[in-house]
Formats: sequence, structure tokens, C-alpha cells
Amino acid sequence: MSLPTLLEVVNLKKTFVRRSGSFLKPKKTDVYAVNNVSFSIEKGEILGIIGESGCGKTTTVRMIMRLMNESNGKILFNGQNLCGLSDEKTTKVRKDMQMIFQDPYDTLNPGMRIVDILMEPLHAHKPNMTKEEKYQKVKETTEAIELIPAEDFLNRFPHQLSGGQRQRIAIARAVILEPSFIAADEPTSMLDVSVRAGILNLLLDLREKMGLTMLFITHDLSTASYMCDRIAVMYQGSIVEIGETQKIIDFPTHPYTKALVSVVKDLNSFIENRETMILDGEVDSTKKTLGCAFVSRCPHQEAVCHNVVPSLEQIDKVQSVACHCFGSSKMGISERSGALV
Amino acid sequence: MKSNRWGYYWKTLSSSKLGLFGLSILCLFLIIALFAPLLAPFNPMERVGQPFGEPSSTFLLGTNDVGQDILSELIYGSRISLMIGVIAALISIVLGIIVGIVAGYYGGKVDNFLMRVVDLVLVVPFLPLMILLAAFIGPSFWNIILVISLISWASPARVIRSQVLNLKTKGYVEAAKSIGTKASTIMLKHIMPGVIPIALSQFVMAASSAILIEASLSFLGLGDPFVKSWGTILYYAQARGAFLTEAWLWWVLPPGLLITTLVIGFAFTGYSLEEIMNPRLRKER
Repeated sequence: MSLPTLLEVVNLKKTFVRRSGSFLKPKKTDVYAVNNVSFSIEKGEILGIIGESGCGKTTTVRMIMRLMNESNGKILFNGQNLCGLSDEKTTKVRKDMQMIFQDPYDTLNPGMRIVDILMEPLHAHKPNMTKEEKYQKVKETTEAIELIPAEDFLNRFPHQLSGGQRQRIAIARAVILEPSFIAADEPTSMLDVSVRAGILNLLLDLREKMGLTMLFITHDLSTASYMCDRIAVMYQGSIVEIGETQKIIDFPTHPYTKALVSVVKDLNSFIENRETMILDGEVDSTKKTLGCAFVSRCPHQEAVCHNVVPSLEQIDKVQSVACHCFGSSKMGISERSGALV
Repeated sequence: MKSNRWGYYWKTLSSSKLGLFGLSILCLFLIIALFAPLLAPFNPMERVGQPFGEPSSTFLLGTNDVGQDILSELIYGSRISLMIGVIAALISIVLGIIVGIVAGYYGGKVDNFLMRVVDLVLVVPFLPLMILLAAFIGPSFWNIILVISLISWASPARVIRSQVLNLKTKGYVEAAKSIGTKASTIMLKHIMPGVIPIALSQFVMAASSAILIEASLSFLGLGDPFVKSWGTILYYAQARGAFLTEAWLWWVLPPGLLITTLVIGFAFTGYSLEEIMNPRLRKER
């Protein structure tokens, strides 16, 4: 807790406008992709954001990486607000923050050799380096991501590498500038299970060696628990719970987190007790509820859940949760839901 | 991979009879144009026979109003027609690539503005405009090329823009952005290579229309009077009344046929190139 904050996100919001209705009677509805998200990451920490598809985790990262403009809010990186920064200044900041993308088949240009792909960040940010120095750096980095000997790989095209190797190249491209912050957007979700562990260990290794700070996006709780120091659980554009990984897994507080954790911990008991954990249904982000976003799927609803949006409240030093029911959650769940519904 | 890909293109091209036919026509004309001094029996600028001579063993296609050999004129004319076609197409494709990439990549206002300009160029009735332009800036070889390029860059620009819209959603473009690569570098290194194949087929199409435009301009007397293109030959044939006498058979028909054949050659090549570049048009074979 004493470490300085590297990245702070304050009330970040992204709305998309949905146009519907006829030509004569146009109707505009705001769809919240990300709604009032706030968190901070300390130097050297890995924060995981976990949530189901469409909950806004990728949108959040894209805004932090300045690939998309925010509708509202602040992103403080090293104390500097990235929102509304000029293109020139944004480019300077990018040297310090890099991103690893989800799909290694898509993020490497199929027409470029690996060496040119890895040179790209150097061309962009180190115009004073000579060609030999750049090549040397590329070689070193390739060896650092365990593609040895580097010469074997540098002259290949991306399609001549396996998925795992491609993702390693993508990681190399992100770390070659020695940034202080890396955002990884589901870096293992497109890979075979067999190579996942290798990639995750590599990331942990690099963090150790380079003192990286990371924002790690995933939809897989087991990956998150392996990688992250802290986890933020997102649901429909808001963070519903944030805290230390171990705490979240051992003592999940928000009903959504509880459901998530129990799926991973013991699938059989989740299926048996499904009714008490979570209600069936797909997420519908267009339906606007006044209250808690999770209310339509939550098994223990109270009147207040339908009318008031719960705010993220600290429950102890390391954990916060956004749920109205928390105050009374010392009671067992089944008991409470029986009493209230 | 690169050589494989071109090999694959060649295979698709050669498996299409139309494309192969078009390509051989183009090659034939290229050879004629390159070796014109060897193939032509006379210097087309020299008066070598009687004016208005009928075809004979010395002058296979007769002579024109000042006694120049028409066959030699036609052979040398292929040089002008091909050159104007290729240069004008090249200029309009380069313009089209620049406009298409800038509009597609930046989107928003820039895109809107550029596409409205494209619309404008596309909807202007182009023959009157061309005549006006050609008459205004005066007939010369380079002016003709300028006029043709000014008119024919718009439709390639639109086709290329739509390809860019597709390319810019690719992960590697986004990755390059997040790395902090300059926009100009992204357009040059990541987007341009993806546009080249489409630009190639557009180039062939533009060349065929450029040749037609050149012929029509020259026929109307707006071409360069000092170079002999097929259009110019037709212009003089028309001006000297060849259309009304039996001379049309050797003075009017041959240049007309040559123009048609060359344009068909370009069009066929263009179609099969388009088929290669656009897999949805590809037939099951």
C-alpha cells in the first residue's frame, strides 16, 4: 500500500449512442459500455480485470491505451492526465505504456518479417539509435522471451510461427521499449491450454526482471488468480468488487463474484445450487435499470436494489464491493433470500 | 510466402481463359510498340507516296492525305496510345491511392470532405468537361495525360477507400497505433501493402479507359497535333472525308479495330485480376 500509484482511473465512462426509431421520429439511447469505473494500480503491481464478454473490460483498456476516446472521466498516468492530451504528447506517453493484444494471429502484420515487426517500436521512439544497435536490441529481446536462438526466428514471417510463438513476439514488441506499464488484453484466451502456462510464466518473469506494472484483462478466474495481485470484477460496465486476489477467491462478497468463484472452485456444486447463486438469463445492456445492474440476475433482491445504484464501498483495508445486500451478508445467503423475496 | 502468393495469383490468372487472352493481347501490343522502328516499313512522318493512295504491295494500308504510310502510322501510334494510357492510369491510381488511404484512415470530416470531392468528379458529365479542359489548357501530350488523370482518379479512390476501411480494423494497425507509430508510417507500412493488389486491377481498368478517352479527344481534334496516335489518324481520316469514300476500309477501320482490341485486352486482364483480388467473385473450379 505504501508504493506510489502508477495509474489511476477516475470515474471513467464510455457511452455509445444507439440510434433507433423511424426517420421522422429518431430515437437516441445511450448505451453504457463503461460506467463510472475507478481504480488505481501501484508500481509493480498486477491488477486483473475480470468479467464476462461485453462487460466493458476491453473498452476500459482501449481507453487507457488511448485507442478510443473516453466520454467522461480521468486517466492519470504518473500523475499526468491522458485525457485530452495532444497527439504529440500521447505519442510520448506511449513509450512508457504498451499493450499486448488478444489475438496473436491478427496483431502481427502478415507481410512483415519478425525483425521488422520488432523494430517498429524502436523506429517510432528511438530515432537516434543506429541500425546495428536496433538489431542488437531486437535480438536481446527475442532471447529474453525465450525464442532462442533469435536468428532462427527474426527472418521468418508470422505465419511461420505457432500461436504461442506469435504471442511471445507480441510480448517482445510490447517490452522492447522497456515500458513501465503494460496492458494485456486476454493474452492467452486465443491460445491452446498447453502453451498458456508458458506465456503466463513469461509475463511474470518479465515483470520480475523489468519491474513492470500490469493491467491484466481476462474472463478466466483461474488465470487471474495465477497472475494478479489484485482483482477487479466487472459487470455491465461497472466494477462490482475489487480486492486482493486471495481475499476475492476465499471470501467473495458480491453475488456475481460468488457465482464466478464457485464455478471455478467446484463446478458440480455450482450446477446443483445454481438457483441460489445466479438467475438464468443473458446480459441485456440496453435495458436500463434505475438500480443495481445485476438486479435482473441476482437471487437475493431487495427493494432498494431496483431503485438505487450501489456504490463501491470499502469493506476492509483491501476489499471494496458494490452491493446493497452487503451490510446484511453476515447471514447465510439462502436464509436471507428466503426471508426477503 | 511472397513468392508463393504471386505464384498463386499467376495460377488463378492463367486458369482464367479470359485473363490469359487479355494478357496476350497486351503483350502483343507491347512488342509492337517496343519494336515499332523495326516493324514499320516507313517513317510515319515522311511523305513516301501519293496522297490518298489505295492499298498496294508497297503501302499495305494505303497512304493518307499527305502521302504518309498508314500502316506505319498505326504501328507508331500504338506507342502513343499505350504510353498515354499507362502514364495517365499511373497518375490517377497514385492519386486514388493517396486520397483513398487518407480518407479511409482518418475517417470523419476528412473522409466526408474527400468523398464529396470524389462524388463531384464522378457526377460531372465527363466528356463536356474533358473537351472544355482540353480546349482550355491547349492540346499537347502532357496536357492530355493531365486531363485524363484529373477525371479518372475518383473511382479508384473510392474502391481503395473501402479496402482501407476494412484494413484499418485489423489488429496490427491497432497495435501499431498503440505502439505510437506515426500515422504516416502506419499508412505506408501497414495499409498500403494491403491496397496494392486492388490498385493493380484498378490500374488496368483505368488504363483501358484512358486509352479510350485519349482516342476520343484526339478524334475531336483536341489531341496533340504533333504526335500520331490512333485517335489522331481517325481525326484526319474524318477531316479528309475518308468516312464517306471507300477509303474507310483501310483508313478508318484499322485504327478503330486496334483501339477496340487494346481496350478489350486491358478490360479482360482487369476483370480476371479483379477476380483474383476479390475472392467472392472467384468461380469454383
